[in-house]
Amino acid sequence: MSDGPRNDPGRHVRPRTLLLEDLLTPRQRARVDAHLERCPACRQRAEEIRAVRRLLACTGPVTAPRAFTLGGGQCGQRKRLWYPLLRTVTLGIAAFVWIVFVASLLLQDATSPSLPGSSRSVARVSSTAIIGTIASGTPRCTTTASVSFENPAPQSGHALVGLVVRTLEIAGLGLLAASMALTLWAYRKERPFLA
Amino acid sequence: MDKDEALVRAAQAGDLEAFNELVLAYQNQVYGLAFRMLGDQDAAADVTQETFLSAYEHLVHYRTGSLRAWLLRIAMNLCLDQIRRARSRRVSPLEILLTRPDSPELHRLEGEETDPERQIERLELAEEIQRALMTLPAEQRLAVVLCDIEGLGYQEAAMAAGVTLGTLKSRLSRARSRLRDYFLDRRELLPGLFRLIEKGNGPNGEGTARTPGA
Repeated sequence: MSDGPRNDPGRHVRPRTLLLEDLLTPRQRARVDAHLERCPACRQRAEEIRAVRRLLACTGPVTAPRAFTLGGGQCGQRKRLWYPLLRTVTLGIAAFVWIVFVASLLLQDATSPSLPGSSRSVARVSSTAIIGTIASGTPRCTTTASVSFENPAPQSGHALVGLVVRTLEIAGLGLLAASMALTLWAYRKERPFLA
Repeated sequence: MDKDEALVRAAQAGDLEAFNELVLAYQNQVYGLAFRMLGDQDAAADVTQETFLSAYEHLVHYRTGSLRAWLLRIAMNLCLDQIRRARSRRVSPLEILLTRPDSPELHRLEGEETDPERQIERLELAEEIQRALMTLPAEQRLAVVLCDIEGLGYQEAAMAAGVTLGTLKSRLSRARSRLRDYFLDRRELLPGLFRLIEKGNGPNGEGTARTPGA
């Protein structure tokens, strides 16, 4: 800790040094004491801070109004701890959300390639049409002539599964957020020595 | 293995009597911290009871180190919870009633001071000090209570507060500075305190402040 005045008699001791005077090393203390002898302003400030510390020390320790010893029944009646349960539930929900997410990816792969906005439509590109279009040198027509999208026969089974997976994803994420918040709350509440 | 550690091991094995010995050894300090932090005897008693119940339940997590710092940390977190709750419910600051017949301060003074006039003077002083503490932010109040009132060493106080030594020093210096301003502002109103600040003497004429080990 720097004690401020060093060898310059014109400089005052830093306020923080005086506030934490009890932390000075013997060498620092000697330097500060030497300065205090010459500087009435610093001496006055040091005295005020020392007086405050004396005031606080003189309040002394408080005596507990009764014994806080625990009885056997008291320990048994202790309310249930929710943190371990909530932690397990949160882990379970996280695992569930992960499974649903993987399932949705697999489902998407099974029906690919998909286009945004119409997950069930399948794009079929006629390669011969593209080659023919390029060969004929009419690039303007490429987009209209070469690529065509066909909506296959409605697959109601896939649509339903997709809807269910999407719903589970959203519900799972909501549940995960709620259970994480609850678990954090219980953690703070029930494990105060860690908070 | 020291006595505390032996009692902790026994309590960890399920010996409630051993744990109760620890309770008796540390209850004054835990209650003192809660009382200084909350300024209310009933709330302090609740926090103390809750601290020991919580400590008993989680004793298995305690390994080594300072048991006092561990207990005070539990109490501190419970106090901060109380303060946060009171703030969110917009409860007005707790009234300091040291002159209540069951006041711990009064109880202590009855044993130490025989002169009723001096008793009243010291009670007023204790009340003013508590009022000053309540003006500090909770973290700064904690630093002052641990180091300047409970007399913990800086390292142990930092452990109990769950902060680094540097943070503790910084909070302590800010708190002492605020308290100095508080008492200087009130020196005309409080003749006893005025005398203390002016002459640098304790109420019993003691000349030195408690210096916690660094």
